[in-house]
Amino acid sequence: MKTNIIKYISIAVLTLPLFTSCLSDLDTLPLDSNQLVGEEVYQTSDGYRGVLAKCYASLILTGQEGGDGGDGDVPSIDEGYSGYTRALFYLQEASTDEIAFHAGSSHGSLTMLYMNWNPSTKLVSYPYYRLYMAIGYCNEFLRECTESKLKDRGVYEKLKNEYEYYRAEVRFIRAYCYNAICDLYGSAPFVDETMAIGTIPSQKTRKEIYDYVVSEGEALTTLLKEPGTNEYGRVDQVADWFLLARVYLNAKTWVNEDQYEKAYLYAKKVIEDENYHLAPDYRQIFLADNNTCSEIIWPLVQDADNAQSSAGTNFCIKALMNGSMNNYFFTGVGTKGWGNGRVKTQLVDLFDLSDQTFDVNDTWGDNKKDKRAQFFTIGHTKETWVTGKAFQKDFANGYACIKWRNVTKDRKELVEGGTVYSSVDFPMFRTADAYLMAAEAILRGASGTRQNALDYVNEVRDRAYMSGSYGNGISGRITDSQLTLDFILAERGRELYTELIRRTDLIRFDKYTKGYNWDWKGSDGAAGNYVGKDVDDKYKLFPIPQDEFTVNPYLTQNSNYVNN
Amino acid sequence: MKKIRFMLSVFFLLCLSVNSIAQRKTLQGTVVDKDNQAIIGASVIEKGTQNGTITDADGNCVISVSKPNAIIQISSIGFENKELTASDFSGRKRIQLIESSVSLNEVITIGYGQVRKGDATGSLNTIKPDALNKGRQLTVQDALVGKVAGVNIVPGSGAPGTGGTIRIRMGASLSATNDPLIVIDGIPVSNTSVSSINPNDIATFTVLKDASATAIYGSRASNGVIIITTKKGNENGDGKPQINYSSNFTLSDVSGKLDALSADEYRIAFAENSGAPADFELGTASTNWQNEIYRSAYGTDHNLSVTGNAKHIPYRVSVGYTNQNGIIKQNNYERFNAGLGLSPKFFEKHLSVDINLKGSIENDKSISEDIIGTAVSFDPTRPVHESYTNNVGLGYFTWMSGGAPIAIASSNPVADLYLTDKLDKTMRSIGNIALDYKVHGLEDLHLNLNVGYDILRNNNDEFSPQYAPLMYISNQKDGTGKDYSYVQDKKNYLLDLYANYSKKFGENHSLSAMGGYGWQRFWYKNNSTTNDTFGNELSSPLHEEAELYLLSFFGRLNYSYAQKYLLTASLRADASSRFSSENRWGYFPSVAAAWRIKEENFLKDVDFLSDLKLRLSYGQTGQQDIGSYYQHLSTYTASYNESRYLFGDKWTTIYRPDGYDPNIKWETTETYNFGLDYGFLNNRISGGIDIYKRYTSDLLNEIYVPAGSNFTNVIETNIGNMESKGIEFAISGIPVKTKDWEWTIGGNFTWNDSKITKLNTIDTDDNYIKTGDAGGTGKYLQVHMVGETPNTFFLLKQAYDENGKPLDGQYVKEDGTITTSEEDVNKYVTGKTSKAPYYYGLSTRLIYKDWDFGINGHGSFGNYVYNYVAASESLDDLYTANGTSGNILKSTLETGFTQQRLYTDYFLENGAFFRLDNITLGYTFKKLWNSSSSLRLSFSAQNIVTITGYSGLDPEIYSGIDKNVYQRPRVYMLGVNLNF
Repeated sequence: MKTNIIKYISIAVLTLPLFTSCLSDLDTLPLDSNQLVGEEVYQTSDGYRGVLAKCYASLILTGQEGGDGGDGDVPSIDEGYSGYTRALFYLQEASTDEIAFHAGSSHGSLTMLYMNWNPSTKLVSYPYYRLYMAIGYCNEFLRECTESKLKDRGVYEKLKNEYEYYRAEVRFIRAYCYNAICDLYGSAPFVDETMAIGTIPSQKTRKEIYDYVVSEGEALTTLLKEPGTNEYGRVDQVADWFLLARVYLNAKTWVNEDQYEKAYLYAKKVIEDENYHLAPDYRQIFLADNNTCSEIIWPLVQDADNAQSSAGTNFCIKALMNGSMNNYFFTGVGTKGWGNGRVKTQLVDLFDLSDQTFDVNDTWGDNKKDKRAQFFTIGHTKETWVTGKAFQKDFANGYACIKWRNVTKDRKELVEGGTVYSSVDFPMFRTADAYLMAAEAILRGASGTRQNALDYVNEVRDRAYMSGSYGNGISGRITDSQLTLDFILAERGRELYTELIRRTDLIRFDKYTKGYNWDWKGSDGAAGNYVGKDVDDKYKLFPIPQDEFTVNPYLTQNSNYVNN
Repeated sequence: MKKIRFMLSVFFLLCLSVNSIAQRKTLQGTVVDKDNQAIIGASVIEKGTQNGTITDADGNCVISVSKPNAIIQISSIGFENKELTASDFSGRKRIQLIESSVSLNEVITIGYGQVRKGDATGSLNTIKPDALNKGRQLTVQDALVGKVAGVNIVPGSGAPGTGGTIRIRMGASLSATNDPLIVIDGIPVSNTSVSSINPNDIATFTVLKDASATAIYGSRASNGVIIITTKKGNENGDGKPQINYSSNFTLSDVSGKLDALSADEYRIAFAENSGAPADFELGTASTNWQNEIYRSAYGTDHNLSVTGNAKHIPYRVSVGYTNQNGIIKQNNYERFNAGLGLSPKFFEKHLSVDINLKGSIENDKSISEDIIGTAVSFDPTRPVHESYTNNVGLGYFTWMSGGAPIAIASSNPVADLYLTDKLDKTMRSIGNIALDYKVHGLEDLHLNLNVGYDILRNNNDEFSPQYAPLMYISNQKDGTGKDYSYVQDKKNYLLDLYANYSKKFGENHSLSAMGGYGWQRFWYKNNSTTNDTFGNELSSPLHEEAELYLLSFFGRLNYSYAQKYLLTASLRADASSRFSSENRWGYFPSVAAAWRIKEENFLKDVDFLSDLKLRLSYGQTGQQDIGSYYQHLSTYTASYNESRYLFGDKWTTIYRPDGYDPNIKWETTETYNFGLDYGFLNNRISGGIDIYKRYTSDLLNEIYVPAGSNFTNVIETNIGNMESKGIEFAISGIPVKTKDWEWTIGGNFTWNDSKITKLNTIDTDDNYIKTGDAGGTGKYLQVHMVGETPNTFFLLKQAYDENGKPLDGQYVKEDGTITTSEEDVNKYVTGKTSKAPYYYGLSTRLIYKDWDFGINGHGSFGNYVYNYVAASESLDDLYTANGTSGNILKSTLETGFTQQRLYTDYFLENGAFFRLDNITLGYTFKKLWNSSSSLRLSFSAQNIVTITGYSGLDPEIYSGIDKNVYQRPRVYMLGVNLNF
């Protein structure tokens, strides 16, 4: 018996180390080479650049696998729809006089067409969640990229000349995001790098968010790199001036402040900077080799091989053009287009009748007066409706926009038959917009002369018509008597259509909800109801997504929207 | 009571075939129980012959035998069999049978041990697969359908080899898995892959339902546990191997087709309703696309096992081969199984060793289920075959526009069937060595060691050639072929070490204690490549690798007094590497008591009652099976090459911080269970009732994250609470048992109900979480909501005209007004759910001499099904703006909906059904060439009748959303079972 006891004890003692070694098994770390913990990422300068890249990329790419890979950043949203520029396209273009979508109704595309969205409309929530994701990445970078942490991790020496610029750029991206939130949602949650992960953000008023964007923007004018000195893909001071010009120009509608003088000041700085002069040909701005285009102040990078997404310019190309158009000209994506987005008649009518239709012998519109009139019309009706019928969701109702093409400026495909994804970089900010902003600011009371304003507009129109210093086309110049605010709004439509600014412009000109109506606006989609009607002014802001009210107790909905 | 017995016996006597054998030697006897009460209807048979009789109302019988040394067998339900020589029989007037209480003495495998059924305190059921009364069983789930109260099994689709969904007591979770834990020979495995187990190798299933039974499995036990024991060698055999060969041949047939328009009907409907441009032309063919994809399918199954005892080492060796064609062309499932079981004993039976090795290879040539829907919706005026320039379509009809294939169109389903090759190959081995050492000198103490593994390799390949129609609408959308290959390796290891001490003190006290330690590691690695058919990479190979450890300490104490009062207590401490060190350990206690009332003096003499046991239990269990292994860790994901960013001229790899929840922990479920086991008339009627109430707290739920507070916008976190309750009732009876006849009936019935009591950070009357994905993007038909059963349908209330015809696109709002908006604001909570509150199973078996006949059925009511197949259609599908035409169902023509009306309650239907699962008729040749050889031939028909009011093909769909699933075929089977 005694030997037995000794035996049991020795067994117990022998097995004890087994237990304790097993306890340490529980501290597992990811095994996959693509999944890392923070300390591994921040051990190298490449890690810091990789997180910086995420802050930029989060506004155009959708996840870490490329394309519709499946590892999307915003898991509740279909990956393609979760891309920022695409999400914004529905809100800024489909709710306006520019584009009607014949597909995507399960996401709420029809509520954009009829202007009757509500807090649970999915499309309303897409830019919202994407913007806060981008803000979260920026905050994380700012927490991790500090002098003391760099020193602790032994990467300070390598990054000491750059890391302040990294921080400034990330603050710029975040300021841009809050500018978009201020524009789209008004009053909304606020979170910065001082708040730990998991902190439930409280709401700031629209004015507070506006003030934050302005104060960050002003601070960054000197912290960012000098104009033209940064590498491609990253921003410099000019982008910040552009952002400030845009924010100040909209200050009246956003927070009822007259800031046109400042808007003019910054727009003028952009125009006068020699690094970002107007491209020689309007059409080159939207092509696969637009990374060589001087006019783009802030490009969001896309590449058929290295930076794929179903959002971004891939969306601009495929949603607006369908496969059969490739029989007439190179779409650059072969026959892979979807073709569900069509141009509303009001956008077509901004152009001269003679410029509106597509000519099979002039697929680039070289013979058009205004080279910006890029429509495909064969087999399409100009009307987005069929007489006597409800909204048809028919891809042939409405012309197609063909301004975005995944080909090079020598009009060649990247590979024969086109690539699967787009290589067109998205021009987030470009100089022509600054010209029109400067002119508008003057008309609204800034200190420039009417002649200055006229010159800005005519510079843009010269380029559009390829006349004056841009070629020997028919002159598109206007006279002083033609220069009105209404003209500016129309000109912005011609110049910037599908570039994600239309809704903001219409609101600034007070023509979004009332006083100017377009196809299907305010309609119920029933037979014959395609003529637009005024809608409630509450639609000037989008509601905060319904799902926020299930988890954030500090939020109040925008006025007149009823949560359901 | 006596009267009934008498009536029964008269009936038995009438049934008895009279043996007109010449008078040789007549024996007389009276069969009695231990209290000298007559046993009526006991069968008395001369062994090895057809000669026999049964006892009358006074227990008397007369039998004549041919030879004086004949052996007489006496048997009666509830008593142990007795054999006497003829001389003994004649010598005794009274033959006493001993009450077998066989069901009570039966040993049941429970977690880390075994228990006598009579001593069990928890709610558990043991099922031995019915060798006679079964239909085709391709996977192990098939053997459990409708058999256990409280266990709802929705069999897999009609694609051979697909596993079903198992829910014990409706499941306790929302976002975490609701699958029960499955333990095969002591190795907990993941449920999703039990298809590799050969159903013929299974000896018993034990279903553990209440927390007293399951808590010993701690953190994985909230959804119940199913313990599977495989067949073992025979210890008591005479060394001669027993060989069993069974085989069957099946013919599977389409059980129904959807009522789509024929080509001629389509032409008329198209002309009237499509609104297509005048220049759009239909085809000239008449193709029934459903006929093109379906077929009658053959299958076969062979199993050979050898059981015996070689040099005192009991062994069982088995091999199996299954080959089953699907009723959709090209679909085939094939499985090879091999198993070896050895159970030697050493040191004067002090050391028992149990070795189990199982291996399987499954080859699943699957088909894309999209084909099923496309076959309904493809334009019937188009031909199957068509030629285009440049090889486009490889000879199959393809949608074209202006000479180019259309990118947004549906793909020719026949082309997809024949051109796309899919092969899912799984090789798996499960094995373990269990040592049970009865300590020398302290025989009451057993030390147990169980070491096991479960390793698996899965290859999933898909190949579509260049120019196949599918390659113009998917992949690169330009005709480029696709060669996809996915490899998964899984390696799971287990070590359990535990001691068990049992001791009887005095006459009435018995005690057993068990304590131990467990360690388990799960590891997997996936790699996938997508190339074109020439081997060029289309995208970067994807990879994934992760591991998980579970550590446990567990103990259990059983005490019984006079086998009358039983007490069980258990405690398990579990740690999972899934959670941070602060939340890692969970403690899961349970306690249960049982009272065998029958043993009390006041019931001892109540004859008709043969067993009565009351059970009460309480326990806590957990749930840790959330998707990610590293959810609590702050991690970064590096981008693949397709998702980089350009800085300067250098493509930069992107690092993304991932969403995480440092506070994530176990879900905890508390269960109260009240149970009653009963038996009447010597257990000829027996069964049980269980009533339970269950509270799940810290329910893992996927909720939205306040924007800006994390690196994700939805996260799985411990947020909700849920309450469930239910009643389960089971009964089995043997109304007739004579020498030649045996009729058994079994049935079970379950009612259960779950209500969510907390769901979100902020719960208001209007908050819900959408679920019930109808496919596509963001199309949800159900919600989880406080106060409702999970998966409650959330739909628009259809408006009708005065004739009761649904008004297209018009819905009744909450305030009674009509709206055309399909937004969520206008939807309502229907109060109807896909979860079946009531379900039941029935089985019966009739044996007459060498004939056997069995029927199984099961059904449910109170559940609802959304007919998505019908709802997804509209007249709009006749012509699509991208220039393609498509077919619709006749019902769609009747509703006349002009657009897809996906959210109307018009398509929500009552899902009640009763299905006759199988009918089997068998005949056994008992003595083929010697007394131990036998042959059984059987014929069975499966899935014969489904009684339901549902308008779609089959209402038995776990999700409650009827998309175009692979229908369950009607199966006819011829079976052979040879023993020698």
